[in-house]
Amino acid sequence: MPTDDLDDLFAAARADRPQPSDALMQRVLDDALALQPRPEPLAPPRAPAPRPSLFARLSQAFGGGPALAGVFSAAVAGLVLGYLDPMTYDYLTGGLTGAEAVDLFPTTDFLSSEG
Amino acid sequence: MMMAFDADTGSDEALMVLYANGDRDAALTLSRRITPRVLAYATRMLGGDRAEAEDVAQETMLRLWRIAPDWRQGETKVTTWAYRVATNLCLDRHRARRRKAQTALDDAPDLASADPSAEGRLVQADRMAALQSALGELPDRQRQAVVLRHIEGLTNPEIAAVMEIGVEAVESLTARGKRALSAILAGRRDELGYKDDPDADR
Repeated sequence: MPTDDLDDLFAAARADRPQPSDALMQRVLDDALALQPRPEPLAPPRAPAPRPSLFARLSQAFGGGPALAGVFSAAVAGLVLGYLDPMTYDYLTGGLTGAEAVDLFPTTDFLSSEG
Repeated sequence: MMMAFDADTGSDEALMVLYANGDRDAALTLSRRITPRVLAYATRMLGGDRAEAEDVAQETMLRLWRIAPDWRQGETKVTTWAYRVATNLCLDRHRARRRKAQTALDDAPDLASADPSAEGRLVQADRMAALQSALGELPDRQRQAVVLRHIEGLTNPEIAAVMEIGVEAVESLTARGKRALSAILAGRRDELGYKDDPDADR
């Protein structure tokens, strides 16, 4: 068959393009909509975080709860020692030394005396 | 000023993104653009079997919808991808049919012609049936290349992308395919009315 006739056949085939039926188009569209990803709904805006209380901000300024607990404990210990008389504890230390006073730095005057 | 995207004029690739984002118009436009092309191609590849071609077209589109959320822009044209998937589906069915070695009489193509003359319609129908039959005798790759080039109207680089081969290989396949078609149809020229074509003088 000559090339011209073959080209004529091709042209006729191009013009005779099969068209999809309505039923096919409907099936394709049904598939498309069934498989189409659903857009995710927008998340509601988050409420702003509540402002921390004055105590919380002060606590944070001192280094947080544990640090503040340490400071508080030291303050209580100071108050206790201040109100109680330390002399009442002499019975604990008196027996150990056996003297009223202990000279931890003995005199060195003899080194400077002549003779 | 914000401009609305027109689904009717947007590229196929842009429509894929819109579809994946839930745009119903994009689904409709893509269906209208791609389905007729895949159906026509599958009909030629499957020897005019309209029912099987419709199945191939629907399956190809189904795979398109599934891949849409993962579609990577700029890598492949949507039509190229669709032709490639349709080719594989057609070849699978073609091989299955060969294995069954069955030829149904109602496999004849559903032909329609705009020619108002009854004689012209018959001649046209005979020619399309002859072309379809001759295409069916070509090796798969030659038939694919010839259909894409001469009936679907793709360029050689586009066919190369569909078939995942070089442009030179496409040229070779189409040339050999045309020569083979000419040889197959050579003895049927008179039968197909090329001497007594009622449209010859138009």
